[in-house]
Amino acid sequence: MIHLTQGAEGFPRRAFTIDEVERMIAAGVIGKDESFELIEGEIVPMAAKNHIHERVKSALTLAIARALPDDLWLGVESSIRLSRTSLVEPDLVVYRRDLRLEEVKGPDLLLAIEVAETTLAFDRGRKAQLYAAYGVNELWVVDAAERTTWVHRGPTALGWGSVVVVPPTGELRPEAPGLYPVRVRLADWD
Amino acid sequence: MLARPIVPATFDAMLSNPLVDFEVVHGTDGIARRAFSAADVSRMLEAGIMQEDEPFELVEGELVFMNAQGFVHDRIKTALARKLGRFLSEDFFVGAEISVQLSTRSIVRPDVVVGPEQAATRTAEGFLRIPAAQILLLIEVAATSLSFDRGRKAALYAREGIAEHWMIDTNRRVAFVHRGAAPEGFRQVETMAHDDELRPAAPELAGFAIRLGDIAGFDRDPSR
Repeated sequence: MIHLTQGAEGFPRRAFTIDEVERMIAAGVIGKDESFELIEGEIVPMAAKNHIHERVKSALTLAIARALPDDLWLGVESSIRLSRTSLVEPDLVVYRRDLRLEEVKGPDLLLAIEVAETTLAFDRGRKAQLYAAYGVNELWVVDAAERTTWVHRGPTALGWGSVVVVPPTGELRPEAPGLYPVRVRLADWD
Repeated sequence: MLARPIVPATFDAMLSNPLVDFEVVHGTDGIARRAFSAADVSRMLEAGIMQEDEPFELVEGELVFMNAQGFVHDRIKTALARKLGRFLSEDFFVGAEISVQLSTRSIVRPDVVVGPEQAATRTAEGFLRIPAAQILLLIEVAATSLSFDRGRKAALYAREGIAEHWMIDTNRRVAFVHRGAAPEGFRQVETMAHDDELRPAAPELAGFAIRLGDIAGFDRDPSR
């Protein structure tokens, strides 16, 4: 049973590195079956995924996989090491096929997609900021229930250069040249 | 103590500073974080992931950073512990900044804690335990961590049922005397000025009195 807390809100807390978290798993502090992300040194358990989340994720996976050029790779729930203290697991990521996952950094991600059900505020807020600060090229945050997508581009240390809201009927197109053939309209998927 | 309270201004600064042994954050405010237990902390110490001297307390599952302590803080803590130690017989112990496990999810390090000698035991996780109900007096001295100590931590002490808690504010040179522990907080909080006499309510401590103003180092404005 994993307990959650927001008890020390506003106060500085101990941050852990990815290395320390790996040692916690080895030492049995964190169970092997615990699903979490490390956000700036804090262990944030991941919410269980429900049906509508999985539907939207699958739609995006299929749409991208069908149009993906051979030199790119589509990762599903891959662990991305953004820094020494941040390990995230976006629903989908696209990066060059010749890269090893362990080496993939923010700027290597041509596109990262977070499908949010209960975590929309966090995904559009703090987490989007984190992706920008580490140089992820493009981030889509999809509201699984409404199928609205926030398309983030132009990462800087301070945040995203632009955020465009695309309705379910709008066409989503990644900016990266290699992903030019990818076109998705979430309203077209059941 | 590894007391280097470095709060990195940017991610880059954090990554490029090899001197930082641990980092402190409040980056995930607003979302639920994994809570740690005393057993988790014990295993982390054993595995060398955390060091014994790291300035953190486990407050209801979160490892909260303790601010570096200045001269005035040390003087007050030492003076109080010494005076209490002299007053009490050997049947009582006076702990100065010792780690006390209050529950499966809280290990605190109060500046001074007083209890019966036989009440102190070792927990399954290997920490010192004094049942909260047997703690006669628990004192925290604080300047910068005041809001946390007065809010969250006082709430924890009240919930655990600690009979009397003094919170000494070195900036304002007052003591907040908390009594009447209840699940929702201390029922009574009295503000005592530096020339007021502080007297614990516990019968075992009857006759003990101290004035903050009588403590060397606290007898004048600490900002000077």
